[in-house]
Amino acid sequence: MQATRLIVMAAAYAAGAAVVSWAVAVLALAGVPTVAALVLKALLVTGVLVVVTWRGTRDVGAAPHRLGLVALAALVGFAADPFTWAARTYLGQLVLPAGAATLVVDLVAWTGVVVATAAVVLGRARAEARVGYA
Amino acid sequence: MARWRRSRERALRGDVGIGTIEYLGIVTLAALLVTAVVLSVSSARFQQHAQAAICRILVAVGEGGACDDVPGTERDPADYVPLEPCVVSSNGRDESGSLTVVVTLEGGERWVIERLGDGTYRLTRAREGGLGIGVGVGFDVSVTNDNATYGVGAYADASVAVVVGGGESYLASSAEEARRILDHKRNDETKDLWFGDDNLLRDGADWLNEQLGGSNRYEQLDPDEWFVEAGVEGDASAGVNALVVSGDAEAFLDMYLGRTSRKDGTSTDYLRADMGIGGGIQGHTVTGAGYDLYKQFTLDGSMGAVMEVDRDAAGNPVAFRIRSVTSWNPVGDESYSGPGGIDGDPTYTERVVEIPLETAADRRLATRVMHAAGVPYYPGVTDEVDVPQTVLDRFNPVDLAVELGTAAADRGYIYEQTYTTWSSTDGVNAQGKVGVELGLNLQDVESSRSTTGYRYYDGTGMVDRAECVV
Repeated sequence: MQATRLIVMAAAYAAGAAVVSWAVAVLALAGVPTVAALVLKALLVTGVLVVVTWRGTRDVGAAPHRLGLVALAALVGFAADPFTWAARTYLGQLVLPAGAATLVVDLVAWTGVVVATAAVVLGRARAEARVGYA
Repeated sequence: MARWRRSRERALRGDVGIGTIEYLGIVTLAALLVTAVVLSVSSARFQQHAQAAICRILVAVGEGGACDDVPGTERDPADYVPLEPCVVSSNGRDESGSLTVVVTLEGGERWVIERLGDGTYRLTRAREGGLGIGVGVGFDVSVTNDNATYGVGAYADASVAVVVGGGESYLASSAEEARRILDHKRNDETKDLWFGDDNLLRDGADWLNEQLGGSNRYEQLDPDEWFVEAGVEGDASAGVNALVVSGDAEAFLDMYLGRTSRKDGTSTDYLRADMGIGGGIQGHTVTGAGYDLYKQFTLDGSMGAVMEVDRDAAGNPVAFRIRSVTSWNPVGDESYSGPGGIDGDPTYTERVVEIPLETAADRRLATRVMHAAGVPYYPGVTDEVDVPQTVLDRFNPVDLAVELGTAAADRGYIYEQTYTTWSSTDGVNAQGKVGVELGLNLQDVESSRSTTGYRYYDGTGMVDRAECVV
């Protein structure tokens, strides 16, 4: 898996999540109820994580170490998202006030979604590879 | 019934800011004292002035001895004008909700913009939350639109809740500025939630807002005054909703203790109690000619009292104020244009008596009023406990009213105002008592107030204060 691809994935995670978070914040400022906006933000950030992971891993083969590399890209993307600097990255604010606790919740959920998506995509790639060999 | 209760709460809360029998004692005694003072002071003082005038005439014609000075004449007329800013009119909104699963969690937010007598405006924002528990039977599923309730249900319940609230006020030079402060403060809270209060992300959001033509001017504006309060609310109600007709009855008793602080360091502690009963029937019917006719036959009554102690910047008590608000609102009317066509706006009469707390005698008098009303202790004021005097005052409040009235007339303030409130309620309510209490209630109340009369004691009698009336 190329370093460039990992950097692009990390940047896409950060930028994508930041853009949708910003867009939902604008909606909230326009009057959308807080809980609805937070749910919408969580759904959109989940979409960003799934799409970026799927696009970034669908044609890279099925080597087991690639799951770790994708998780590393996700971690970098998480750290680079400006909303992480304010402890408001993902869905933690649905259950907790912004702070260290939401940072942990967001990090666990963020990494979990990316790893789960990558596992599915890479698992499918392995299955296809086995079919190809058969 | 909620229409009336919300209106009642706003009526008292807009002005400031212990067992059941004591609650009733505070409300009734305050009403009795203040009403007695206000109603009697003008005639009593008029008598004194008339006697003094007659005395001087007799002296002038050589028929009398020396005349005593008329109390109060040493004060400049401007000194009688109450210091408390008067509210000419106001409009506001109150959004609240509650969720019941055995216990009830309730919360709400409200804002009101008041036009004051000096031409300025005051924006007040407040929030409250509470935890309550109740018992009852029945169910109710209803929707309220512009005060008209549609739904089905029959219920009877009683509840008690502990409520904590707080808020802040901002002074503005115009209604538009007050509205901008409200919008900016709301934006500030939303930005706090989404970006944080003070970090790079927030700086970026504020910068971008300004680049796009927005303004962050009032987001960090400090309030001119702010308040916190806590209290208990008790309520018993019963009602029936039959599609387009509803009938209900309710009684409530509330008690709050709070403090208003100002940025100049002064503060006001207050004890607020109010109670009320009401009920009636209202709904749509169809005339013989096939027209939709809305009818309302209701009777609501309430009494409230607020005891306030002003403190200077050093925390010393400087004034004692007792405020009474009463309202009776019988409505029997019908309209072809729905609830909006019913002339049912309640009118409130608010009376205030204030004395300074400059001397030991002032503090003793304030102590007597508090003890008679059932307030056992207030730091810096009720330093002495005189049980026989308290008993005497409770059985004979007239003498207490005379002393209070005399002190207020000579060195304090006496004033009275009447105002009418209007409100429009939208909401949904779903509740059921199926072994356990379950419920969901959302309500949005838009309201306004117009002061129709304002009089104060000027040393000779009650006179109008034109700048405080719409």
